[in-house]
Amino acid sequence: MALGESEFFACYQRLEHSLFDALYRMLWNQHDCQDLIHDAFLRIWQRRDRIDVGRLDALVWITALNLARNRLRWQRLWGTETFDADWPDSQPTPETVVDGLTQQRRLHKALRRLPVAMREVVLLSEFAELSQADIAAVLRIPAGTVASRRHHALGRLRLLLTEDDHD
Amino acid sequence: MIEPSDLGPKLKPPRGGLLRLQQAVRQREVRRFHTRNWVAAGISACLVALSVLILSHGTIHQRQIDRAMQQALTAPPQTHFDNGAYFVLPSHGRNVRILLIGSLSPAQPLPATEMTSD
Repeated sequence: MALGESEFFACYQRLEHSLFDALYRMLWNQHDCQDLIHDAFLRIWQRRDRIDVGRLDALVWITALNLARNRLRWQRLWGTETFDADWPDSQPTPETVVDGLTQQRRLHKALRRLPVAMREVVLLSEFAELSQADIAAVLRIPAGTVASRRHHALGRLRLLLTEDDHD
Repeated sequence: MIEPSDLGPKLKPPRGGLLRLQQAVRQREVRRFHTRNWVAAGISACLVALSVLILSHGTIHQRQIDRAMQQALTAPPQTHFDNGAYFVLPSHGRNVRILLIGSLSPAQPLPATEMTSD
């Protein structure tokens, strides 16, 4: 069955926040991140005749992650990686903005030091809050691998964040 | 393990994302509709041009034959008599001779025949 407009826009509304939360921690720039989500949805819309609506969410995640990986590769190649100082706090106050920025810098640094496979599991589980089965479908790996990668990744991330506190 | 506070608060995407996507989708639909129309118009124009070409080719060919026949019949024929009569009509083909054959008997019809020599 072809994808209809109502299902498509409902999917955008359903996934926008979790996509933004996870992809922001890959690109660290809110406008890049929003553009990327927009592009991912447009790509899905272009292929709407061939899309299985039951797998729509997973397809959006797969497309968005692929675009983000490509963009990161491109940024690394040209040395244009960014860190958005104007980070999108949902309820900003002067204190939370300053603390939040410091915290985000720490997280940015720690996440960058994680291996890509681990980082993606952390982003999808902790920020996008996807289930183990959903992450397995998006990353095309067994659910058991997701669980073990998540365990190791969180341990490593904690270590990296602690190391950063001591620096 | 990691505390939720270590990962920071939930982020809010910039406003207007859905509206932007809706506009982009609508624009694409309009563009797709126009493109489809242009393609249909192009294909129709090609078909019309092809039809005209085929029809005119037939007409031109027929006209050439008619003209050749007309020229052949109006040109002063070489007359030969041998049991009947035949006229050698001018031919453009080196290996083609056109003969108009007539019988001496008025009861017999006068067929036009093309003869090819090697």
